[in-house]
Amino acid sequence: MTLLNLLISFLIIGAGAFGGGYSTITMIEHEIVTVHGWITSAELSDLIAIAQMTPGPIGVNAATYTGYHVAGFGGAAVATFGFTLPSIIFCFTLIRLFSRFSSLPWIAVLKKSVQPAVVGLILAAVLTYGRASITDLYAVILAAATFTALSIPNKKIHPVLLILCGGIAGIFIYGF
Amino acid sequence: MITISQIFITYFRVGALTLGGGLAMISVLRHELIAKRGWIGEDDFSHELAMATTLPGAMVVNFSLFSGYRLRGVPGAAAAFLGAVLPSFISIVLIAIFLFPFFTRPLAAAFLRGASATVAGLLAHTAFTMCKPMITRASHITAAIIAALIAMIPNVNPIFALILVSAAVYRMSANQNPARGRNDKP
Repeated sequence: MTLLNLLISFLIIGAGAFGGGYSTITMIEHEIVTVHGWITSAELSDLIAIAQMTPGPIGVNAATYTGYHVAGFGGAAVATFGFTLPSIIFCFTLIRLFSRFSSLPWIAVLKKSVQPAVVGLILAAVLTYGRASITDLYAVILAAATFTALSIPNKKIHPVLLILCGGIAGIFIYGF
Repeated sequence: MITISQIFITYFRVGALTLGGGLAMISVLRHELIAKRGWIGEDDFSHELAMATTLPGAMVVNFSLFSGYRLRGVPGAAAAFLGAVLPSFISIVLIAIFLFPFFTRPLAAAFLRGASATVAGLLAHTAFTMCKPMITRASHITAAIIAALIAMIPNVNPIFALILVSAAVYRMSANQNPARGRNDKP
């Protein structure tokens, strides 16, 4: 019964979470903490910290962690499946719609019309992330150095390498 | 010819190695798919990212489905999807079982703090380079800024920003091409 409820809750979360990982966390807070009481607010902040410290999308991390917390391995599998199933349904529906109606000119106008808003959402996500993670002058320097390193023309530095360097720098700056 | 296992391994590696959430993964995938492997062009990448952002759910999960489908149809979408999701699933389950105390150590928190600051720079760079080709008119820049401001209001679902601003831009584009707007709307 718990597994079925977990599945339904995460289907709702997956279908309703617009605009990235942080809105997923807002949805989880509502569904899992407020409605079902499966985890407490204190556990939710643990969850957010772990979801951020683990590689991968924050929404998937949060779903897996909540599912495991509520009902073990089966719960983790059910929550992750429930969270990603709406994505699969919506994406394939959109692919079919676009391939059927791609010859209509207004589809092309519509695709172009969405782009400025999408840029806006990405900008908002970057600013939100920056506000949370840039907390002092060291962080400003690290972020600026990363931006500069990535902007060097004709030199493609792998971003993962930079994140790793940032982490090591973090140990020296904040760790001792 | 791009094989299914190449697609799976590429997305899996990005999923397993990238700290900083979905948008950071998009930045790394951009590097892997466009610069390193040349599997996807700049335009297609932006277009697929736009669709992925428009739909609910994790942006990078949606993106993996769209881009995987472009690379190799339904099996490609499945490979990219599993590659993007499995590392998260595996690492969270392992952490929940074994590693939880590790995350409370101050050194781990210090590592994360430095890494997050780096990710902020990475995201800013991605947003900057990606947004340049997507926006060609001054009115579009204004629209993007308005969308960002609406999306940042607390407790407002970003979908409102998306619908509102897209509709306004669509109206403007239709007005600027009256012939197209009149003849071809259903």
